[in-house]
Amino acid sequence: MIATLTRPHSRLPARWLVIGVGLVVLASLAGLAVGPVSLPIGRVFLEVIDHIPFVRVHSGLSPRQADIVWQLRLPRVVMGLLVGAMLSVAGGAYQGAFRNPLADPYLLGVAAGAGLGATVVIVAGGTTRSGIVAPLPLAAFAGALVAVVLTYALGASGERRRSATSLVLAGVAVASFLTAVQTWVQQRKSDTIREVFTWILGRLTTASWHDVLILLPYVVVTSAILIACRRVLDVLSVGDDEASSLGVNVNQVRLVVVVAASLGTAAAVSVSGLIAFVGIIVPHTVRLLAGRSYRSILPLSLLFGAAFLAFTDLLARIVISPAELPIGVVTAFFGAPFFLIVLRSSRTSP
Amino acid sequence: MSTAMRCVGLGVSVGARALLSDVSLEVEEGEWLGVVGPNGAGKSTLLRAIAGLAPATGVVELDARPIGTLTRRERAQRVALVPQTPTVPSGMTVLDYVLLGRTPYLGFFAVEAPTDLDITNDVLGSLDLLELASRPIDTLSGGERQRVLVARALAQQSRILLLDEPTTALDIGHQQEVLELIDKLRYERGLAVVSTMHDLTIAAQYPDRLALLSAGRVVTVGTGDEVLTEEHLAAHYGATVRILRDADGIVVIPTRTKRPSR
Repeated sequence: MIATLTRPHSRLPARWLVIGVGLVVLASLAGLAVGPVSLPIGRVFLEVIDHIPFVRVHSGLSPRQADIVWQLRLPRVVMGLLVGAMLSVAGGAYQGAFRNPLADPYLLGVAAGAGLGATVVIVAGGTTRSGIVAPLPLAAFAGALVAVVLTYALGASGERRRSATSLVLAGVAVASFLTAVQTWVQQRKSDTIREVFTWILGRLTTASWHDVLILLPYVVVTSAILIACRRVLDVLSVGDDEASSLGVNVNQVRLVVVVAASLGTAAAVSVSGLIAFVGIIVPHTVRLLAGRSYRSILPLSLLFGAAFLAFTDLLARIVISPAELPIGVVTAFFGAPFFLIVLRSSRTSP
Repeated sequence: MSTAMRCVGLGVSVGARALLSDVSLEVEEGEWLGVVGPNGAGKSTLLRAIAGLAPATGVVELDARPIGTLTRRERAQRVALVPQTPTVPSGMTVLDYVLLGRTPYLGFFAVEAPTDLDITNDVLGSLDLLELASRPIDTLSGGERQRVLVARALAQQSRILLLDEPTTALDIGHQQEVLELIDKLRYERGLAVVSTMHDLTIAAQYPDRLALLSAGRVVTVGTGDEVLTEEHLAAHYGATVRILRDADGIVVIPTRTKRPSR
């Protein structure tokens, strides 16, 4: 036996963990500091510190200014972090479960399903808030699950074994179909069209602490489940057959991961609207930076995704200031070209 | 010596087509059984059925326990399969790949404990792979890669090792290296080995016994001498061969009876 054992390379690299945390902090501070009302940066941070339990500092901001920081900017930043983290972890987990780097909440039809569920609730006038069990997240989750089950069933039928390509193609078909149904539902009632559109384009603008509290438990629980599946997702990378010969119940893993990722995606979508490309860009970037093990991809996607969306939201706020761009437009504007670059380079590399 | 694997009346069908019918075989601890037969005879299906990966009728017993009474993980603790064309995740290092062999001992949400790493390092050491431990597996040569695949199976610490054409992609030197390694391992660790084999001359040299499979049925089981006869190869492979015998074993020589007229 050799004294110095070789260490696994699949471990989460501490360097990237530190960088990820640093980016989250940086994005949060930047998000707090920037806004249409210019406030002294130092005082903004003091105001936030003042809200930490048992800490009393005087920020010197007027009550109105303090409200801007505490009731407008901070919940919006936190919401951006949560949604970004959730979409990224879910995207990475789908990619592992389906062994397909192109799997994404959007390509699988999950987002479209959640959109349909949410549209039905908005059109029915069910957006009146009623605590954690608000109808919007639940309807979005139901829609997301229906979509992913449809995609999975359609992608699996026609051939004996589930192939990644047929799954994504089925997802595209399901997404188109559900989007068509969603449009039909939305057009039938003209007075809610505007609300539906605002929602679809993504909005962190009106995020409140209430929205944060609705989303937080979903993000914590589903991310924890998905990250706990990191090793077993690595085992799936040798294919269903070999994973099965190693004692893994492949369908059970897929079920757990898909349900958790869909629940998280639906919750994020139901408070923030459809924000595209995050679930594919962030895990891909992490994969390029820190290796292909899900032990790195999932925890780092959580951090990098959070920072990514907070920065993106900042950009959406300042590009055409004082007006704002919908955040979904910004992620698509940067996401689509980035995605194509990743796609091309992953094709040419051996 | 105890029986490590026993199957009785084993059958596998896909739809109405029988891939295997009425296969009965036994392998002792420390014994090497070679499975030969023409393409499509059901050799790989047999290994998959023993590993519990193909829905089968009849009886398969691992360590005297019917496979149906074992959980997936218990099954994977008893039998390890090295497929003919394994899926090699690109960029995964040798150590991480071999660590996957510890999966049957880990719960759904668990990660490896230090003991799993110790066992894996032991396996890497005994297969001369420590030098390669941090290399991505897709950068290895064919021979090295085959050793890594065997290492993953050994990390499973199962008593039964199933190898599907372990030497197909290798040159003759590396074929011998891998087969000598398997031979050494089964003596040292008392492994029961079942391997399908392509090269009949080599099949006659390493396994203790050979089973000839044709159209999903076992035609005969015996030593290489008994199984690899000109008659058997003509009847089941449709091959015209001569069998030469010398002190090292037998040599199967394909012969050409008809030459195209010019």
